[in-house]
Amino acid sequence: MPFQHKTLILWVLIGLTAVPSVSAGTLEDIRAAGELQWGADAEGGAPYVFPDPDQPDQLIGFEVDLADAIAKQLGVTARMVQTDWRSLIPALQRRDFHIALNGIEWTGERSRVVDFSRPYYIYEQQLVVRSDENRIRSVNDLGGKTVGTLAATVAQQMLEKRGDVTLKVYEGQVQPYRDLELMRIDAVFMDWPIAAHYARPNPKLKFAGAPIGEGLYVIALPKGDAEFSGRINKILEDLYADGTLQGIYEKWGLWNLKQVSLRESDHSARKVFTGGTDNGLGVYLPLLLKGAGMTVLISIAAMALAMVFGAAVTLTRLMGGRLLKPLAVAYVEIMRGTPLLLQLYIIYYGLPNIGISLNAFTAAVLGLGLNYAAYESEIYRAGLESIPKGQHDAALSLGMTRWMIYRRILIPQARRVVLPPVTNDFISLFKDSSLVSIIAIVELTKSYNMLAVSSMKFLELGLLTGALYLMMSLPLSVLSTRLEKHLAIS
Amino acid sequence: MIHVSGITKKFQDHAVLDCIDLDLKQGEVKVVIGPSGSGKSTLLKCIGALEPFDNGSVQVGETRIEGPASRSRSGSDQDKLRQIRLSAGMVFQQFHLFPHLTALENIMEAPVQVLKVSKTEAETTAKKLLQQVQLGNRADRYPRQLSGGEQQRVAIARALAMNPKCVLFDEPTSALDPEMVGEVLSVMRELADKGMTLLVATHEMDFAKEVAGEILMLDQGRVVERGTPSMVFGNPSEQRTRRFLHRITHR
Repeated sequence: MPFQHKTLILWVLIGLTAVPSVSAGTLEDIRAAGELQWGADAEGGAPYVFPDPDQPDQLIGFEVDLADAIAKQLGVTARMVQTDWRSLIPALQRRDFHIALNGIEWTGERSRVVDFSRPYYIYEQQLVVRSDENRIRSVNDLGGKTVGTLAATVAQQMLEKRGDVTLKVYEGQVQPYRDLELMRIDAVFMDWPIAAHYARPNPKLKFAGAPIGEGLYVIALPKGDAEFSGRINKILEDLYADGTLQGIYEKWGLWNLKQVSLRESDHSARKVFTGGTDNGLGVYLPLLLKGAGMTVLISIAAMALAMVFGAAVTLTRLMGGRLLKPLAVAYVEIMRGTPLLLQLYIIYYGLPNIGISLNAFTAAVLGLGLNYAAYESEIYRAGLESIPKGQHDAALSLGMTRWMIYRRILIPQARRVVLPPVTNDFISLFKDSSLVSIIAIVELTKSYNMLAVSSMKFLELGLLTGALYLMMSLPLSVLSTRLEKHLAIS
Repeated sequence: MIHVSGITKKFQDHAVLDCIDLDLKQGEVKVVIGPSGSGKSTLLKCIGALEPFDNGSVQVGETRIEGPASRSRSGSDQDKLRQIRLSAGMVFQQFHLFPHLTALENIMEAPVQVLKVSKTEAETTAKKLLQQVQLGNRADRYPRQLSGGEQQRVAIARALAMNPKCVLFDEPTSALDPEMVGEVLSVMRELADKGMTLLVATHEMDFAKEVAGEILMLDQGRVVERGTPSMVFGNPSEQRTRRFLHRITHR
């Protein structure tokens, strides 16, 4: 079953295959292709790029309209290339598409690896709280509070820089608002267009204070192609001048007077947020170690749960009556037959619909533990069934009761048989724990994601993170091998 | 001591045991012979309450169980089956010692767990029994560190530790190398001499001649011939018995 660290591997590969950062001839590429290929992530959601609720096979959003308008100026059609949002910049470096256009904020780190167009939208950050909230009136009241935001955004970096809030980082735009409603967090701090689309219409939520932290949405362009970036900038300038941009933003409820500044050609004076300086790896290590600590904590707690509950399932299956046995069988089949990721989603985001709202750590341990319990129970069952029937006969003939036979004769023998596979399972649970990042837990892989995206050090941090995982899993592997050898001898 | 009446066990339409009668008085030794698959092992397991049967009855000591009840899950029937298991010790062809326990622990396990005898008392008894089977110096060995013959003698001591009223031996020497058969048979002989009630399934004809009061010849789930050793071995009335004895003595 082991779920692979797809993202991690992907990024390491991206890092290894990245082409040198000088490119040219993008315009010719576009003409040859007959289309403008633009990278975006429809999973990111409204109002940027998202599936039309009425026609889910159609993508809509203000950036779809913008891409169409740019393509039209280039005399071609636009085609969106679906890419995980956080991989947009590395994917552009690999030239998976011609431009990346998806609410990408101008930051100093990113501008080192790709070129940026002039801005096409001036955004701000909006703080959102529950309607009945009266303590938090603006960002000044956030000290000591738990605040949700979107992974790898400027908003996240702004909150991190404050240092006085507990950060919950989400992969999607909807989940933070949902957790806010469920009182799992105190406030949400995200880009204004997102707040305008998701939070403004929700009667249970309200804006707290005016938007702050002005920033620029820019189009990411291949590094070093001056001809192409000049052309794109000219197109953006024209689209503003002829009112096309304003029309698009008005259509999506995003127009405001700030956008008037878009006509200016120089934005260098604008107070855009820059995440910081180019740090050495040593700066990131403590953060990664903190994530590693969470990984260890969750893995151990989940494995303990898996072993205890797995044993209960096995005994129910072997000794339970006609009613309980099928329940145990069904449990194993359901937990093994559905993805762990889905189970985590249901436990954390789904259960609140029936009134069960668990905190993220509990949900993570429960999700991993209950899932692995199914595997453990199968290992235990196989272990028990591997004991020759004669052992049972001999114990029975000595007058032992059924439970006594399990407790004194079968389980002690099975324990030796199952030790190596259980250790192996612990290693794979340890790696699968990276999946809990989807419920806003910052463990090792999540820490890596966050740091790599903000620093663009995908390769260096990826190798460092991989090394940390290995340092934790190798001792387990060695232990497993030793156990196997030890048992083979005895 | 053992009273088996009309015991029948079917597997689908095939009768594994077909209406077998058998009686053992206190101190009697009887031997069951017959080709493999004739039902010897099943008969012993039914008497020892390790396998259910369909018809007839088994009585060991004071406890009697009918065929249908041997499959029952009711508390009172389960108690009866357990009572029979406690009365009848069992020794298996493959020994079935508990591999995770030492020889001494194998013998102590059931007295401590089942009879709730104190550990010190169980240990004293276990050591005495090990002496009795000539294994006083093997107490702390694990089964894998013992020879087959030694393992079988520990298994006999394990059965005796429960103070059974009789002991059922299911081909106790068939899995042993020839040089180890003697040591096990001599322990069994000793038991017989002490007046223990024994029911033995075996191919050891010399042992049968010497110790058994009666020989039962089983074939296809039926008793085809029974009588004293001199009758069965000396002058078998059945063709099947003759053929079987010929095969056994000329292998």
